[in-house]
Amino acid sequence: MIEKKKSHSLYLPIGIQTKNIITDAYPDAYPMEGFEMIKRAGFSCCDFSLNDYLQNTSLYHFEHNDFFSRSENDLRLFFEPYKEAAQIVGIQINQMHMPYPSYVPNASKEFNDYLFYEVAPKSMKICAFLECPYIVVHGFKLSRYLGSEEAEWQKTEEFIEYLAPMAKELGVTLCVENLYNSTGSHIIEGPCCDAGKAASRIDRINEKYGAEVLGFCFDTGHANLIGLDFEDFITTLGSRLKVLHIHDNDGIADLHQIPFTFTKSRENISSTDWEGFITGLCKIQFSGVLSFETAPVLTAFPAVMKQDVLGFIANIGKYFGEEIKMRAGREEMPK
Amino acid sequence: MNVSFKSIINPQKPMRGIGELQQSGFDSIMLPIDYFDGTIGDYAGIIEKCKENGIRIPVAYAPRTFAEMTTENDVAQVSEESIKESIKKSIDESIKICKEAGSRYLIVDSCWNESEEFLLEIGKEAAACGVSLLMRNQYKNSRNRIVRGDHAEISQALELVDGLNHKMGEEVFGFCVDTGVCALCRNDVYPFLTALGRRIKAVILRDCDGYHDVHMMLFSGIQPAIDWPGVVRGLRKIDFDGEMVIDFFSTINAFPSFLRPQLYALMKSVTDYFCWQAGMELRLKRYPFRVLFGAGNMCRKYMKAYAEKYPPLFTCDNNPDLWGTEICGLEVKPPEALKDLPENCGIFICNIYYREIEEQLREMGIHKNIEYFNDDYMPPVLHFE
Repeated sequence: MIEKKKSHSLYLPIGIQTKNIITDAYPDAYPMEGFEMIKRAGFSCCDFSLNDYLQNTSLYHFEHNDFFSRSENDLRLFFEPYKEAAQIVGIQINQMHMPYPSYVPNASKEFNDYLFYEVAPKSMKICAFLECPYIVVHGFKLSRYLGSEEAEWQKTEEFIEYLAPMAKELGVTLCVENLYNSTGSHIIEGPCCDAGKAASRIDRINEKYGAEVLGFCFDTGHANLIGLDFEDFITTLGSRLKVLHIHDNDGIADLHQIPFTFTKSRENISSTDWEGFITGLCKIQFSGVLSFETAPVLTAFPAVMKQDVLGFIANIGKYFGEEIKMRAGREEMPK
Repeated sequence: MNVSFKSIINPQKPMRGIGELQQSGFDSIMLPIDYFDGTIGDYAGIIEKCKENGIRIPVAYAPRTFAEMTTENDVAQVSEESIKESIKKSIDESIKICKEAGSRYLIVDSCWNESEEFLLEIGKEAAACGVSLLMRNQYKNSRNRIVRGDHAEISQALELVDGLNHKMGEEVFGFCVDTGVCALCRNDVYPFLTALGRRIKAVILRDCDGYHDVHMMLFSGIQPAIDWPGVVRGLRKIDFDGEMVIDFFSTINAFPSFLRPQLYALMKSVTDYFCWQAGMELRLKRYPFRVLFGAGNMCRKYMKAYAEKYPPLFTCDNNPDLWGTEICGLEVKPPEALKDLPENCGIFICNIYYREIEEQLREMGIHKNIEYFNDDYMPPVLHFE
C-alpha cells in the first residue's frame, strides 16, 4: 500500500514532469543525473512520464512498440535504477502519466485490447513499484462517435472499473484529467470538462469500492484552451482534486509553456487565469504537489540552459506555494 | 428560418429593412427587444408593418438588463432589489410584446443570479400568454477572460430546464442554443445538442472568431470557430424542427450599406443550404418509402449511414452497365423504374448533378417528391469490435 503523503511543511511541494529530463536518453542513460538536476533546481517531487515509453503519436497511427510487452519482472528490473536514483537524490515520484490514449477509435480489437489489458495494468504495477500514489489517465474521446458525453463516459468508466480493484489493492489513485478535443481545426472541450459531473462520478465510484480509487488531475493549459472558469472548476472539485498539470498557452494551442509566458494584451493580462488558479487552490486547501507539465520548454531553450530553466520554473512553483499559503493564512485570521 | 433584424431594420423607418429582407426571400424575423429601450408602444409600428407584409415574428429576445455588469464595483452600485425589479419589468414587457407579435418563444438571458422562485414567477406569466421562455447558453467575463457562463455546461442546462418545467407542471421553459457562445466556450456542439434534445426550441446560428463575441455570417469564421458539421449532425440527430435564427449583424455592419441587399441575398442562400443540410434526416423520415438516384460514392455513403434506419427500395442510374447489378446490397435499376413507385415515395438524388437529374425526372413526368441527398455531413461511424 502506498502512503499518500500530505504536505505538513510551510509551503506546498513542487514537482516537474520527467520528460526531457530523465527519460529522453532511454534506453541507455542512468537516471541519476536527471533526478539530480531536478533536485538542484529546487523541486522535491516529479511527475514520472511513463507515457514517454509508448507515445500517443504512434498509437494514433495504430502502431505500438514492444516496451510494455515485457514481463512484469523485466519492467521492474528496467525501472529499478529509476526508483533507486529518485530515493538517493530525495525526489518523490508523486504522480505519473499512463500512456494514452487507452482506446483508439477504429483501431483493431487486438490493438485496443493490448492497450486495455496489457499496457494499463502494467502501468499500474509500475506506478506501485515506484511508490507513486497517483496515475493520470485520459478519458476516452468518443462523444462524436457515440453521440453523447454520457455514452463516452460509460466507456471510460468501463476502463476505470477494470482497473479499480487493482488500484485499491495497490493503493494507487487513478486520476482523470480535463481534456480538449479537436474537430477539424477547432479546439473544443474533451472528456471531463464538467466539474460537477466529474465530482459526482468520482464520489460514486469511490463509494462503490470503499477506497479512493479515482481522483482528478486539473490541467491548467487544457482549461485555458476551452475557457473553463478556474476558480469555479477547482472549488467544485474540492478534495477530489489530487494532482496538477501546470503549464501555459496562448489560448489557441496546447503549448505546455512556462506560466505567465503568454498575455492577452500589452497590458499584461495573462492568457491563463493564474489568479483564479491560486484562489481556487487556496479555497479548497489543496495539499498536493504543484506539479509542472512543461517538457516542451526544455527543448525550446538551448540544452546548456536546461538547469537554469528548471530553476526558473521551480521559482514560479515557489511563488504559487507562497501565495496559496499567505492567502490561506489570511483567511484563517480572525475577522 | 428567421433572421435577427439587428442592423437590418431601423425601428424608426422599418419598411426599408423589411422590404430588403423580403426581396432576399426572408419571411420571418427574430425581434431583439434589447435593440432599443422602451415599452410595448415602441414596437407596435414594427409589429404592425411585419404583419402587413406577411413577415412572421416567432422568436423575440428579452433585454439583457444588467447582464453587462461584470465588476464588483458595478454590482455594488445597484441594490439587488432594484435589479430584480428592473429585470421583472423588462421581462413582463417582453412577454406582452411577444403576445402582440404572435411570438411563441422569448429568449431570456440570466442576468443576476435569478432564483428559481423568480423564474417560476415569470414562467407563470409567460404561460398565461402562451409564450415559452428559452434559456440561452452564455459566456461570462472573468478577470478579463471569456469563460463558461450560465447554462454553458450541459448538466447545468438540463437540470435548470427540467427542474423548472417539473415545477410548472407543463413545458414552459425550453432552451436556445447560441452557436457563437458554443464556440467561445469551446463546447463540443454535437453532444451538446444531442443531450439537450427536444428541449431545444430555437438555435441562434452565427459564426465568430472563437475569441470575441461577434455575430458573423455562417461559414465566415476563422480558426478556431464553429464546428458546423457538428451543428448539422446534432440538429439532424435530434430531429430539430424548432426555430433557427440567423444572426450576422457584425458582418452587416462591416459592409457598406450600398452592398447590403446583395449580402442579404447571399445570406439567404447560406441559410437555405443550412436548412437543407440540417433537415436531411427529417426529409428521409417524412416518406414511408424511398428510392435513390445514383449508384456511386454518394449512394455508398447513404447505405453506410442510413440503410438500416431509412432503407431505400432500390437505386437507379443512367449507366446501363449498372442495371441489374447491386451496390451495397441495393439493386440498381434503370430510371424508367421510377414511374412505378408507390404513393408517398421520396426520390433522393444521390449525385452532385442535382439540377440536371431533377430536370430529367420532370421530363419523365415525375414532378412530386424529388429530394436532394448530400454526403457533406454524414454521421460519424465507430466500429466497436
